Amino acid sequence: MDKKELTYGEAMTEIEAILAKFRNEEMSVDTLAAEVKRATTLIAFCRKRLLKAEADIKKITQE
Amino acid sequence: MIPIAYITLRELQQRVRQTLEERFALPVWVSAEISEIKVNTSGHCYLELIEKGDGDAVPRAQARAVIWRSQYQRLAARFEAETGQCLAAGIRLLAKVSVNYHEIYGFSLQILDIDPSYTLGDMERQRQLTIARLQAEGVWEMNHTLELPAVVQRIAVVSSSKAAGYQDFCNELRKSPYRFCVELFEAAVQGAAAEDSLVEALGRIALREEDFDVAVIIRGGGSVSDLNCFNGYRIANHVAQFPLPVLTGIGHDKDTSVTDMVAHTALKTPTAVAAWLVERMAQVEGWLVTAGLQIAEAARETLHAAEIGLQQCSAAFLQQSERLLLEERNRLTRAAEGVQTAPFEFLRREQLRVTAASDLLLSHSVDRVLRRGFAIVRLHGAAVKSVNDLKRGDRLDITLADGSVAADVTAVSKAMNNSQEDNG
Repeated sequence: MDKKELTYGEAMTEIEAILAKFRNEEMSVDTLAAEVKRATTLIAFCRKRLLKAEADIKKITQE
Repeated sequence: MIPIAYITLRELQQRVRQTLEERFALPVWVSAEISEIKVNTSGHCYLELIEKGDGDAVPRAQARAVIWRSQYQRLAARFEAETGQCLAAGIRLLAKVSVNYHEIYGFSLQILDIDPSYTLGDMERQRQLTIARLQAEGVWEMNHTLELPAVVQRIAVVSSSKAAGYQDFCNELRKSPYRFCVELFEAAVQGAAAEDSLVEALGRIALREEDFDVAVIIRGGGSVSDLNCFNGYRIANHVAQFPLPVLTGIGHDKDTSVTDMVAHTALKTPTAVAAWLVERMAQVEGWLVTAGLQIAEAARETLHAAEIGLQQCSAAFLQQSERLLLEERNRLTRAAEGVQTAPFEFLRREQLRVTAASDLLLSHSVDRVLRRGFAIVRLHGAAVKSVNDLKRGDRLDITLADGSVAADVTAVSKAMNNSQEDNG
């Protein structure tokens, strides 16, 4: 994605900003596909982060 | 010159003796103090009797006395049995005496009987005087109030190295599992010089007060005689004011001596003193063991509490982490669902807008057609596109550009060409 490592928080904020555009009717058909693709990528990223955090916690607490 | 009348020395002495025997009722009970006493090889007992002055310095009277062998054994044994004391220098006694006057040996007393109860009474009186004096001087309780250290290990012993009691004492300590440092301060604990010797030994200990925890006075077991020295004012005074706690094991069952009374702790025998010291050590050891257990227990409790705290922390931490992750997961799921559905909803809305626009457009064109003279014919709200849908009597709604009319069908006639196709 960006040069800088994206954080979970930043990704989530961006996803919610895209959803807000839908709610507030600010979405444009021209950019619709690109925005949805971006949101899907971000969701996958966040999901991966969540799973990793969960696994890490399990590992740490079992030690 | 008138010649002086004289008699010989022998005649003089014979007269004195004769006068004594004739004019003096004998025997007579006499009170006196023994200043010297010895028994010679033949078994006769020779004594020096005195009567002391107030200052105790120079005797006010003195006389030689003898107890013949035939009397001595009996008198001495009875005296010792009743007073717990053998005939010795310093003892005051009441004796039944006859007075001898001998031309060669001079004036002497022959002791025929001794009343032990007098000596006993005198000893008791002396004892009471000593007690009263120590109390009046305010030293009576001094040794009692000294605090015995918790651990008594360095022991100064006043005794005779030859005394059986000293050996008993050492043996008893050696038997114990504890280590004691015993140093002997040699003293005569019997006989005329005992009191001086005891006081002197105590003096040597006092000079090295720092080296000892306690002073112990012990006396050989066996003979019960000659305990009177422990009733003396000097020894009792020294013990009372001694800088270290004094323990006594003087070895007697009858009366308690004044020294025992003023000592910190008085016990019957040297063995009893040693056992008492060992018992104290056992108490200290018991206390140490208990303290050790208590410390271990306290440490275990602290550790246990910390462990529980940590477990609670860890559990709370895990719970919080899980809650956070769950919330995030829900939030993400909602977002993902949103991203899935929102575009389609958006597109549907867009489609509706386009449809609405086209409908509007259509309505505008219908209006124009109507104004050119066309009309829309409806039966029950639906546009009629074929005469096949109609029959006589149907009520039609006809819409014109500026309004509508209702008309009833009176006749239906069908056009001739391609009518079937138009109905489709």
